[in-house]
Amino acid sequence: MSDYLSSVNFENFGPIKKGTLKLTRLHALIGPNDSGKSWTLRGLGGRDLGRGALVVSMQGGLPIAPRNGWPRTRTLRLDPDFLRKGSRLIGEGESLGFQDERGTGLGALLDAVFARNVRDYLALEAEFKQLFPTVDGFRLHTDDSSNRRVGVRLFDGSEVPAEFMSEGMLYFLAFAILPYLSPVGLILVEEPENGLHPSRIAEVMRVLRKISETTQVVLATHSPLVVNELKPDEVTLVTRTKEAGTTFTPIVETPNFKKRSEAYALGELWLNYADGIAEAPLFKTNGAA
Amino acid sequence: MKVYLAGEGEHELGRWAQSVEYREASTRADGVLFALFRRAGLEGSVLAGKRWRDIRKYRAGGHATAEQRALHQLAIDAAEQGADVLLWARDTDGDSDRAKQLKDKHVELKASFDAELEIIGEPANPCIEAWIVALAGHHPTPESLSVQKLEALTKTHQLDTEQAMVDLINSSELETSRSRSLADFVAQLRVAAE
Repeated sequence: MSDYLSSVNFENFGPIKKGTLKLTRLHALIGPNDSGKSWTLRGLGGRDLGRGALVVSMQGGLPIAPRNGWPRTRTLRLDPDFLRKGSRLIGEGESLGFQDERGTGLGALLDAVFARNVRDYLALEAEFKQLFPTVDGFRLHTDDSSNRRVGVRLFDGSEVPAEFMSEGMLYFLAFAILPYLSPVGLILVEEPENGLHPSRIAEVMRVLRKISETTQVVLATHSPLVVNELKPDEVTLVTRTKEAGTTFTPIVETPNFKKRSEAYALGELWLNYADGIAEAPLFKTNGAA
Repeated sequence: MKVYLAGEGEHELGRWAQSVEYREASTRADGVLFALFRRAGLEGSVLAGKRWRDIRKYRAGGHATAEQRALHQLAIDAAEQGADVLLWARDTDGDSDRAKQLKDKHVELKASFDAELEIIGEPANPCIEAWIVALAGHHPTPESLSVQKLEALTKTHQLDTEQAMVDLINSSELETSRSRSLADFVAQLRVAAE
């Protein structure tokens, strides 16, 4: 049996009348507004293989609220300004978690991971250094005896305090620390591109790919830059008509995909043929191509 | 044959360089490329036209340059729209790398699209005006001139509108040794006409 959701059947769930969604460890749902992407994420939230789900949206993104009856589903609306904030230390015996759903408490969480299991801390730091090669290690700043803020130390000896850390670094840390807190089976991310400079999107996607090695990540996106970072079998097109409701089409099953993908990167292909309504140009060719 | 045109602008494409709203009512010719196509004895109608600057350009992939990807995208679009022929020209602006990239991709695409789509095209060296000057015989080696000089020359000889260019083509012998790139383009047309 697969340790992640590889196929999910839907029936009469929101705008989805009936359909099967095939998933990979890292998977993106793309499609027009109001096509049913967020509903699909909500639907996945209830099928977390018993290990809980975490619903994450980025700065400015709307959260997909967990429905009643999903006690294992938690919500985070990450905001770099909150991730940078100092926060009170987490005491022995206290459960590990952010102090609010915007991400306050990142420094205190790192501090607590260090205090409780230094190996976990070192593993986290090693993972971080692999993605950000100029970084020599974490540097937790202390505003006062009961407060921690995150920071990093570079190989040249300089230190980068929280207020100057890139959003990519902060988002990575926020995601990467999740498995050390309360492990979940599934992370659902609504529009990871929100609030990010376009040049940072690839970085965040690298982070999500890394996390997907241990925890399945399913995201909904409107950004071709996000899609550019994915493999063809990791993308499903979500469309919706009055008659059929929401339907799922793996992007590799759209017409002429092989030839199109020789000329376009994946996100470019989508953008070039998308119309933002029914994505009809993506599905048809007039000729025999 | 249904022809998909692609080129720099009005001279190459005529009314197909205009937006759809204006094209319907336009009395302008179909441009230099289609005039050459007809003059070489080929029959057909224009299905669509695209200016080079309207090709969506994104980052270049590792396997191809931006120019090559643009040509590849044109071929896919032409085939998907049901064209029989992609007829293209692109100014080199004196950039020999651009010319080589396009020629290499052209050869590759001709092989991969094979019977699906006839692809006829050539980088115009240094621009389409050199072909006109070559046909008119106003300079022995127009490919050695700058784009600015060629534009000035076509203006001096009142050959700077697409209609004047088309009229010239319709009254000219296409075979010329004054422009190698035009000769190569015409040779492709002749092969297609056989």
